[in-house]
Amino acid sequence: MFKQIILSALLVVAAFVTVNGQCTGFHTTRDCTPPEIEDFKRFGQSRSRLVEAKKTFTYQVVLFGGYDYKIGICTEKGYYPVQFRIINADDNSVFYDNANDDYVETVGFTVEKTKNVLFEITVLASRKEFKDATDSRVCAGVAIYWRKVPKTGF
Amino acid sequence: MKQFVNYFMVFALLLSAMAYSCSGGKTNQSETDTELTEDTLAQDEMEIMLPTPSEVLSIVLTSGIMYSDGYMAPLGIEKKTVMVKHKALVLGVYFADFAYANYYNQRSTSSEYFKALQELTRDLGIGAILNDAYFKRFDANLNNPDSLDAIFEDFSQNAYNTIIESGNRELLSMIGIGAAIEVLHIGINSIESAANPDEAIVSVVDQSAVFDNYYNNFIAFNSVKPEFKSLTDDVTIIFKFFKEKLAKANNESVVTDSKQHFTISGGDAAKLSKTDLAQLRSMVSDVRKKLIDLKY
Repeated sequence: MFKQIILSALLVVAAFVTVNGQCTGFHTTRDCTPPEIEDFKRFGQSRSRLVEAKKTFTYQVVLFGGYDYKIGICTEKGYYPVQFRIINADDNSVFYDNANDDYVETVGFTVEKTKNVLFEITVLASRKEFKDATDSRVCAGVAIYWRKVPKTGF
Repeated sequence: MKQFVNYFMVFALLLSAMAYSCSGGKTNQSETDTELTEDTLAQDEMEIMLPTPSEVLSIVLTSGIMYSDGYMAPLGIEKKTVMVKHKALVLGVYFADFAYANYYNQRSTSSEYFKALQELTRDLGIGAILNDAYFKRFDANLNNPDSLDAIFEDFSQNAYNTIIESGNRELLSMIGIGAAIEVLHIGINSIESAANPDEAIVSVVDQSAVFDNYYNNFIAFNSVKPEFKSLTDDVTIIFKFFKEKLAKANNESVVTDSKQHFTISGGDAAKLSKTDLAQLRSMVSDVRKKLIDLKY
């Protein structure tokens, strides 16, 4: 009987691990990869996670000065568009909002001085009708690529 | 008959576990709120991401800075650790040292630190998470330098994310603060050999933004734990030092260069004087010594 209890417990744990890990590596998929990143490396603060559509998920990152960045935003099919904002962590002013750019899923930018910023992601799923509350849970990914700003001139 | 009942019970549990797993956790709201603590969104929740030591070091180690193994913590501390908090803090220190040696292509030294990381992660119960991705590949490629370089690079870049996505954020907060202190220690001590000391000092200033994330993430998980009171007090002093000395000018602006590309300019920070730098070095050395002497 003891063996069965242990086995049962392991099975339940395995199920939870599977659920928690279902979005692992989502930002590494092709849908999330921005174009023309040959000279870029993947940034360690890229992130995937399970989110709830229409609710905003915020995370704080450090962007290093003197670097170019390319960002790809993705979610599962049927849940687009995704709103993405870059906010100054010091004063909450908005550096970028893709709502002003027709909710494009990729953007490139350069940062002159190192700073803390907030990434805000909202899966809008504007054409999706949810069967129940749990149907709104979906994977979202933010893939960040970076490179040192190339030196210019002669 | 009894045996049949037992098998039936296990089979039923297996089916329910699989059904739950395949549903992606999409059960009713009240259940998921309590069960999916890590990977489920809360409206007001904000995550703080930690730049990896290799990313921070690539900023800190400006041109002309010479490699010195004297900046790294001695190996063997991992054998003296018993408590989880000590293992996590030392893992962070060694992770930074590993990234430092790897940055300078010191393959033999990197390998030694990598082995210590392997041992500490195993003791902390996260070895299995990192095993298939890195440790197995390391063991299989000990005599293949090119493969080792690729594994080390991959590990340096992605180990944090692997730990986060496995639901070990709290543990990573402890690992992170150890790494943050060690990276600061390496950065400050490296200034002396920099070709351009002013540029090197700016890179230390840049680390204040990095420390901000590491500190706030550590505090979020550990500030009320009595066993971390002393460490919390010490890192808070460093945090306040950065806030006081490096007040930023609120002069940021966004310049749109072309379609889908813009530049965030401005945001100049104050400079650290030599006196400030000496004070910072002293504070960081003190915390770092306590970390590797297992005094916290």
